[in-house]
Amino acid sequence: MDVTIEYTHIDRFIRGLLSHYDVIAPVARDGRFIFDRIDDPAAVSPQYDTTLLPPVKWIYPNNEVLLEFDLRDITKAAVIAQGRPQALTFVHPCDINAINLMDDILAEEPSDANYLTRRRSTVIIGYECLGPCKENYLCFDKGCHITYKGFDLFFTDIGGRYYVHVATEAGREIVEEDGIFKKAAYDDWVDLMKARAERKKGFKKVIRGDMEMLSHHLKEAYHNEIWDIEGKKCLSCGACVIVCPTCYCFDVSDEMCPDMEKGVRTRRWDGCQLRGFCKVASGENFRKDAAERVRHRVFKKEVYLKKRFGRSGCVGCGRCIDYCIAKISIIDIFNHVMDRVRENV
Amino acid sequence: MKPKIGVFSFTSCEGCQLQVLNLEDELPALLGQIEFVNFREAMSEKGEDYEIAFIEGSITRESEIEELKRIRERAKVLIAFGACAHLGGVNVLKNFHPQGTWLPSVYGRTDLFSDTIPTKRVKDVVPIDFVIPGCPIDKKEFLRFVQGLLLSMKPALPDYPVCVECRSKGNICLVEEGKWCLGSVTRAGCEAICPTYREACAACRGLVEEPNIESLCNILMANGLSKEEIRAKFNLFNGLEAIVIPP
Repeated sequence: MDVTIEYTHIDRFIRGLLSHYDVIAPVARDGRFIFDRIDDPAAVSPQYDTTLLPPVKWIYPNNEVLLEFDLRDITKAAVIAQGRPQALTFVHPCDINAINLMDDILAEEPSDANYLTRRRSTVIIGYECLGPCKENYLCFDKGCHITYKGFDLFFTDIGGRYYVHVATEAGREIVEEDGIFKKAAYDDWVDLMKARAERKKGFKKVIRGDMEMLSHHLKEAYHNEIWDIEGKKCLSCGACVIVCPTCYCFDVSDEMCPDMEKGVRTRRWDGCQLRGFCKVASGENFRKDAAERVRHRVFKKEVYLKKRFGRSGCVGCGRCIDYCIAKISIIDIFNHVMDRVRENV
Repeated sequence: MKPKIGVFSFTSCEGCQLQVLNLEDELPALLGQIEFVNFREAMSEKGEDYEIAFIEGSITRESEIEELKRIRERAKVLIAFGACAHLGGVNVLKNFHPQGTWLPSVYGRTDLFSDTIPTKRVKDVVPIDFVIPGCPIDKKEFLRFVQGLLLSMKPALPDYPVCVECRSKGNICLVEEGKWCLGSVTRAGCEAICPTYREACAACRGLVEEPNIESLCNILMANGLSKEEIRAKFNLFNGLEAIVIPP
């Protein structure tokens, strides 16, 4: 079922969402955008380029409490899986593709009860990209500038109104409630097709080579000089893995209440680019050089996850490039590897 | 029996002691677990039967050396807490100037503090067991540390840089905006409080293991800082650390 909604009704639409959900939406902050919980529809900026942190972090929050325990009877530790109904709104396809992958990763046994509970209580309202949002993007090469699943509603701007694809029962309930959505007519569909034809002209390939072969070429480039070059620049600050929408590594720690009886176990986002990530109890560190860690990040996304889930762990959102102060770019790394392949052929 | 704790202050602003007292919600329950026997900022009694000694401040006078050694002899566990004790802190700045120049400019006369010496870290005078870093310390980190001691756990500081906490909050990066910040080489644990309020990280918690100083210097120089300016930024808290600014 497809419907449309006038621009002027977006405020009412969000107000309706607010009566059922915590609404998480792109909002402007200091000239950039973030996903934040809103209570005023006027704060929402549907037109945004990209956000500092990806929306998946609202399903996978930092410093999340995993369980509560009491030292007097440690066997009764209770898992805290919380899921307030929340709506992630105006989510771009790259970020939806990322959530789809996170769903698959965290549903693998042993599955992540905390993530899955929050995910089940989340509705996702997608927002189509009709052109690239910035300079450092490779969503088009990745095929992640579009998405076919992972949303309840999907909005496309067709001029004066949005074309809304209704994908789930939860989505249908949202559009039926208000009476501000109209059944899509033939003309709406024609305008949707026109907008999508325009979209095709906007996106450009940025990787000089066949993306299907990337995983294979990277494996051959395991000893390439690029890892040392980038490793020298790398601060091991972890920015790239913290802002990545498909990085799911975490560390757990226990914290006691001041009475020293009750406590909580929390998890904190962690990442393979941090020096201590691979340090084990003996003191041994099996990825102690930044070069090895940079290579691991690329291999994790393009080789290991691809092998496990049939698709790359990188959705091409470009955040790891934008937020690297040392200017390490996976676009440059991929192109370096692709160029080397061409030179050798 | 509750472990007995002494909190001692040397050359410092005593703000780290205040951070302990700022644990207003937690202190009543915590005091069921530990006993303070010597804590100048909080009590008049001066007990000498402490097992755990928290040392605040750097060592800047001859008389402080003897005092610190005496505490070390009595304490089973000695912790340098706060940037002054840990790194020397801002007090180290005087080491970069001849004594004859700063004494009159600070005090207006030169006959005060005649036993003043170049600033030392606590570890330069006595062996230390642990560090709680920061200017000031993070009160929650102090709490976790004491709780860890009570559970016989080896206290662990974050081994990752401030950027992790800063990025996790979704802050806009100061370096990205063309400014300076030392967060990428500084030990986290402060929840990136300075950059969160748009103030550069000045590395008050000390550096991470194997900081990539060379790469950071290249980045800061591209942002318009000179080598001397970068050196000065590091010297604010880390003047006694061996930090090599590449040529």
